[in-house]
Amino acid sequence: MWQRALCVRFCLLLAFSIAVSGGVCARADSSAPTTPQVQAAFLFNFAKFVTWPNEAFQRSGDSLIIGVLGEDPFGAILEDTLRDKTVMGKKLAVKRFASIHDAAHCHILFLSTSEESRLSHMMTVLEKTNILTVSDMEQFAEHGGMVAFTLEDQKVRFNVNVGAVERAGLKMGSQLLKLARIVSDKPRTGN
Amino acid sequence: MVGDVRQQQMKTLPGQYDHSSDRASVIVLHSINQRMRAPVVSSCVLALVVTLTCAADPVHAVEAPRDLAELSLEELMNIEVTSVSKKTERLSDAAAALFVITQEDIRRSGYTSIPEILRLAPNLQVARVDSSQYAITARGFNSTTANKLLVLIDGRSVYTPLFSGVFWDVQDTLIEDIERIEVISGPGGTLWGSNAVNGVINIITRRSQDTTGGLVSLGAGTAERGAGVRYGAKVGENATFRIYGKGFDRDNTTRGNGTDVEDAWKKGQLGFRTDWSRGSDALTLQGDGYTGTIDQVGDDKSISGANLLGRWNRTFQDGSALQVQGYFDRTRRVYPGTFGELLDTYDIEAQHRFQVGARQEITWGGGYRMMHDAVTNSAGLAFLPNVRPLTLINGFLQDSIALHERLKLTMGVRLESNSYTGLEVQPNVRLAWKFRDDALLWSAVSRVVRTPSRLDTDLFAPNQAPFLIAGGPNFKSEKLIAYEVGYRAQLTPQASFSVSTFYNVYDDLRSIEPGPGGALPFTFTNKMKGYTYGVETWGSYRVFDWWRMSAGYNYLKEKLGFDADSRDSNTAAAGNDPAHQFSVRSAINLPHNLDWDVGLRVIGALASPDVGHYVTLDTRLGWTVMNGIELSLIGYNLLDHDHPEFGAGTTRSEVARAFYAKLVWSY
Repeated sequence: MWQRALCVRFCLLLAFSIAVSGGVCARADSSAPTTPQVQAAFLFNFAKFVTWPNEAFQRSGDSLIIGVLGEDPFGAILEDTLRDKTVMGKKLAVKRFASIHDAAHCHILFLSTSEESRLSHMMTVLEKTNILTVSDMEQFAEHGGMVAFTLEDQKVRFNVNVGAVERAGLKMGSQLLKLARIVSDKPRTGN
Repeated sequence: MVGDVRQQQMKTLPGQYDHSSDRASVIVLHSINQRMRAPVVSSCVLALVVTLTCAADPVHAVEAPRDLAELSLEELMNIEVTSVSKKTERLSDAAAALFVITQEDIRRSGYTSIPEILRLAPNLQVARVDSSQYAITARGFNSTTANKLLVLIDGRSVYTPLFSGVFWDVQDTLIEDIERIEVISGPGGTLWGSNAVNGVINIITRRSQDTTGGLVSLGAGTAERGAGVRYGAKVGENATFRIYGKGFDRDNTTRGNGTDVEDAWKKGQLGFRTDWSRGSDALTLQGDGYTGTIDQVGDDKSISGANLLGRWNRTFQDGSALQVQGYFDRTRRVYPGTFGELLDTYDIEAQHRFQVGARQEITWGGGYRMMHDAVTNSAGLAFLPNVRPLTLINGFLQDSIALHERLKLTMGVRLESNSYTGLEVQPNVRLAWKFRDDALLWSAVSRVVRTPSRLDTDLFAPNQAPFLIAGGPNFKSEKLIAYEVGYRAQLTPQASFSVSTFYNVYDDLRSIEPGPGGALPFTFTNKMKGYTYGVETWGSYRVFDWWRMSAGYNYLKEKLGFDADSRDSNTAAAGNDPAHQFSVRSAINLPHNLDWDVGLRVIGALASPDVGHYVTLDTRLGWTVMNGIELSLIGYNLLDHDHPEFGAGTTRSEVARAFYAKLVWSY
């Protein structure tokens, strides 16, 4: 008996949840862009306003490579955003990587939050490369990363660790720096 | 630090469930309809229609956006986003009672085996029974044959169909190679399958690209000695591997009166892992082999086994992800004079995750498992038939819907067919409300089953008629409907806190009944039922950059009883659990590369068999002598000479004070 009552309650809950989701679907096609769409546009601007040393293009020739490491939050958005765009005469190419060791020859690397637990290892691998590292992991720029996306009041913002950018031999234009929140290294404590 | 789910474990955690959609609902509704009265059915159907009608809408939602790349930076900074990004979720987003034991936690604990390491999870009950045996569960029903917890090592289920539980004496790997252990208390049946009734433990080892170089570890102490060695390297452009070997031996335990229990335990294990990745593909191949002995009066028990697992992950351009995994696992144990078992498991499974529109993520998949279980019987005890092939076929679908940028609904269902009871339906609904960026309120309702094991259906005593116990010919699955509510928050940058509460309603739990008129034999039936409720809470506080405190407290209440027509009255057979459990840990980084950890545990009394409450303390002092060389001294159970943690009366083993020193050299 009590089991039947539970069953009824469970089904009502289910029905309620589905009904609620139905209500929301109806509003789903708002025209506000998603976070990955705006972040993709920012990545394009980073390509525009960051200067790499010449040797960074020795292998890639006339392409500027934007890499995504780990679970990709962009899907086709990145390609759509960068299609037919050039920066200083270079084409923009997107590559996806499962391992940090494959990512050595890109110019901008977006590190997915799926990689968070391996961050310190990845930072070691990326030392002495000329890669602009970008991520939306929390405290990314404080922990050795260069550009960290944040979300404030539903707007995309970014923090820049200027020291890390300089150590990689990159120059970031003032157009970016004046809009960024500047942060500095904070040692990662044990736990 | 973060409990997200990665390639090797693509299954999303219960909280990050992907939004379940129309098809899941159809299945759930269908199963429920069979037992449902008409008005409810119609309301369900109505809701279903609403869902179906709007299912196509999200497709329109991804209409070509304005060319955002043409906007100036200032304009970009002022765009409001809908923020349903498909990033892997963080621990703080999981709508479940999830605790993650990190590699750092493991290193600093000084524990040498997986069961001991599990003591670090405040949402588990861990009791050491003797040298090699443990009783481990979540949310009650603890015993050495505890059967409501599912355990996976790198995606390989280590559950035995013999009693639906885990033989803890053979679950091991090189401790330094464990990346993290995710402990979920509460049901996980929809994603993980039957037997994930009260909890799921995922032991995840490091990828081989993260363990290149060598490592040697040596340890010796008053009750055990151990050694391990690992070597890893890169092979060519895209692949890495590691191989490891380890061995240990543990001394006999003693009884309360000081006499020895013959249960010394030794074991050796070899294993490897290779990872290969190129572009969007990643391949993993790993395996282990082990052999060991456990002393007993007379000939020693022997345990051995081997496993091999392969996994392929692909991430597609659109962000969807596919995982295919297969493994073979053989375990053998021989208890001379009582029992022997040879179990072969073949398993293959696939799952796929993709986005539908901007707001929904669907995960679906299926699997097939074949187990061949062969038991060697003895005169006093027999599993009949002694050889049993078992199959398990399953499919699941889960949909995660962002109802609002801060509100996520997850619905899913698993259909699983097993050799004993046929089809079992395990649905689940979860709601997560992230009302602040750093605070999450979640709630869930799940139905999950514990399918019969050979212990429930095939156990006979003695091995021929007339029997005292004659199996459980009509044994059904045990069932649970669980209601959960939890809250988790990062209170300040230094302090985090989690509380979860549950109300579990069980039915068809195992009981034992005499034949008609009280005649022999007894058979296993499903006439116990009842409910449990409880609270699990834990938190951590970083007092200074160099000092972190953490604590956990559990309360559990169990109310069990029997059907009116049952002649069983022994609710204690269901398990033996403390009502209260408290732990506190301190982790201090001292100058001169020293770190000092202290862990205190207070475990409440067990009722039947009676085990008194105990308070115990472990501590570890670690010294990084130079880069790559670490020396540590560990003391276990320092507050008393010995105490029992589980088992009956004067025959049980006591857990004694012990010391251990360890050297780890990595290069």
